Amino acid sequence: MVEPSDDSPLFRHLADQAPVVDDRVLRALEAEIGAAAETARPWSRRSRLLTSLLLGALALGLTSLGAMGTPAAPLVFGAVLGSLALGALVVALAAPGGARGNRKGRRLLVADIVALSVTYLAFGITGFEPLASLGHAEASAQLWRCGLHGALSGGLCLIALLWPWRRTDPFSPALLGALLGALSGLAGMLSVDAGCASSEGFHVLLGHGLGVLVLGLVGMALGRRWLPP
Amino acid sequence: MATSPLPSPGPSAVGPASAEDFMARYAAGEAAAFAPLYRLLSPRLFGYLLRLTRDRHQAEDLVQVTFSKVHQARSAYFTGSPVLPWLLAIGRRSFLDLKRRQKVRPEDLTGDGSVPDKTPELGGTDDLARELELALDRLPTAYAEAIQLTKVTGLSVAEAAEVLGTTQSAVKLRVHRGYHILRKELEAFGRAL
Repeated sequence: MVEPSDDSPLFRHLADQAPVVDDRVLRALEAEIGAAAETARPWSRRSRLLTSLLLGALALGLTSLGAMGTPAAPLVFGAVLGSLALGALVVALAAPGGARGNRKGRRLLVADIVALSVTYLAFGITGFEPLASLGHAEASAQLWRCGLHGALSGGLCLIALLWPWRRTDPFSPALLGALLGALSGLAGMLSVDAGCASSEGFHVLLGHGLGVLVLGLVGMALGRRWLPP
Repeated sequence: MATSPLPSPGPSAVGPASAEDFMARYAAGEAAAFAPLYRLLSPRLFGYLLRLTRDRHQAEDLVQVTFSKVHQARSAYFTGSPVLPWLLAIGRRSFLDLKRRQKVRPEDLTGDGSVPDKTPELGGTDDLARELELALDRLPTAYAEAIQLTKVTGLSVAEAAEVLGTTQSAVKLRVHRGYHILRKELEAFGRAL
């Protein structure tokens, strides 16, 4: 295979012939930027990170009030807040423009999601009852309640992780959005789990777990819209 | 078409070494750093966008849009990280947005109601450059783009992969296949690659 580093003099010649943009473009840009500078003030990375963490903590606090006092609550809150903080840090360190560490950041997010999922399954598998079923009316109502709870909790976390980072990632906004969506879905699922005693298979898969997939897709769409400059 | 001598392509640290400095100063609020940053990077961005659009006016519009986005996103710049791949990724995304918009909009017609002639507008001024431009223009877009970024614009394979949103292996493969076709095309002009 020809290595791309092998330079041909023809390419070098072509690079030397690079076209010049009309000066009107620079003048138009300077006028546009001069006018915008008076009104817009850019967010610093620190303020984006703090907003992310505050919004994420607020979202989980609000949506997990029902789980307060349960034995699992401290563990769940620790896991959720830890993973969200990691998500926010990954966005802070990897997503902003020009960074070459993007791929590393995405790998870290994937590792975070896998670790959370494995931990959840390892703890949940012992109490999982795939064949148990609740009464039909009760099951349906509880399914909706848990589904909405997870969507609200995870959705707010997703907004916390994406909204402060608008216009920061031109490289792979959809993929980053999908990963942050899945992470938010897991956070939502854990917060639902802490307040729901049901271990019935169908209920756990649909009411608790489906949010991970849905929020992953929502994250992909929002990432594509919000993250590119 | 006006041309300007540029530093030879190679690792992107060669040309834009001071672009990082200008960008850092601009991100820190020094408005005067914008013009030198623009002058340093716009020819490479323009060359890349000209390859994608094949239309000088569209490419100029996209240069303006891209630098405007750089201004809006300047606070997200990491001091010291390469500016050129970041800029090209924003430019590429702006081009894809434009293409999407054009898909849902009817083709602009000329004054007499006919479809405008889309003869590619290329950057080279002498015969040699024009022949290479024409040969590149005949390549599939993915190959031409990979060759443009790595050979002409001067990005490393890793940087080009980030800009194109793909893996380094895919970039190498595209360059390799494109190179193979290009060699045959240039033989028709009696040139060797």
